[in-house]
Amino acid sequence: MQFSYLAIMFILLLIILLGILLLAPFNLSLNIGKNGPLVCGSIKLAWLGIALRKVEISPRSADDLLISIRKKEAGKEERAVDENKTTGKKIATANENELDGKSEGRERSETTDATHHPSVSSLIDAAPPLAKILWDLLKSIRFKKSSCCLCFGLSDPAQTAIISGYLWFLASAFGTFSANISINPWFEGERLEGELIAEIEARLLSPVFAVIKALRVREIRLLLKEMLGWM
Amino acid sequence: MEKIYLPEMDTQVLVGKEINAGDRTMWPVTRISVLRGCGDKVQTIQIKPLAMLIIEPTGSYAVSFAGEPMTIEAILELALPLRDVLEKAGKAWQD
Repeated sequence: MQFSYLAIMFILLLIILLGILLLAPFNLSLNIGKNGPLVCGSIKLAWLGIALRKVEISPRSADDLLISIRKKEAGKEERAVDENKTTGKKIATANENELDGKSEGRERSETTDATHHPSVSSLIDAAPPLAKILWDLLKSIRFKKSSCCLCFGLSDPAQTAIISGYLWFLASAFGTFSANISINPWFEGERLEGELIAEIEARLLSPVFAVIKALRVREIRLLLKEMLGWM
Repeated sequence: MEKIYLPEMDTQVLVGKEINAGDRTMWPVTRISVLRGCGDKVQTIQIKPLAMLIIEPTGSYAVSFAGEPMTIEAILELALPLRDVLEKAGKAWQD
């Protein structure tokens, strides 16, 4: 009797926790600005008022920022090259084992070559339900506050005017999300200054609901099976 | 009572980026008019090419897009930064 009572309590607790996880919104706040040569800002992901991740961009020049990004990219490339070298060695040893007639080597080479690409027809079939899922996911995102202020100038004033026209075209599309966008062209030389402030709120309920709804669609299930190599 | 914001027109005459065609260099002069609404938001931009300063190894001259004859002095009155351009070109010829 006591055990069943505890079990019911445990299940109820799980349901409450799941409910909180699905209903409590995640908040992402962005604040990035460039004033003169300095770039500064912050990115914060919070849930129930608790900061899950916070990145502060300390004021530094755009050149320094670009150099640090390039250094990171170069580091990643070096790591990728090293990994390729090690995997290449592994494949070579596996091939040697295969030549020796060892079954282990065969299995290894098979696992390395195993890649599953879905067929084009199944991708086309799954496109309409996928679009619907994406739309459902987009609906779960709510812009609480968004403002973008940009002041830019190119070496040619005519080019500046043309580019600002293109940017206004894009801004009008974002205007439907009630974003406060201000684009100011600067005709007296090259310049780039601006500020981006956004507060985005998203609940997990809608994406989870969208995924469950998607899994009920036959085309999506077929696509997933093909991607996982179950077909 | 609500304030009524009237749009402001900001007009500038600017020298564009040089265009090189062989030995010839062309400097376009454009008039840019910006119409600003409330909150200093840009509403419209109008770009109108006015004239062009053409610098050749043999000499320099101005061309008006209105179809009227134009002197170097007239184009310099329109866009003062062209004075530096002409001075640089003059020095280059002397060298």
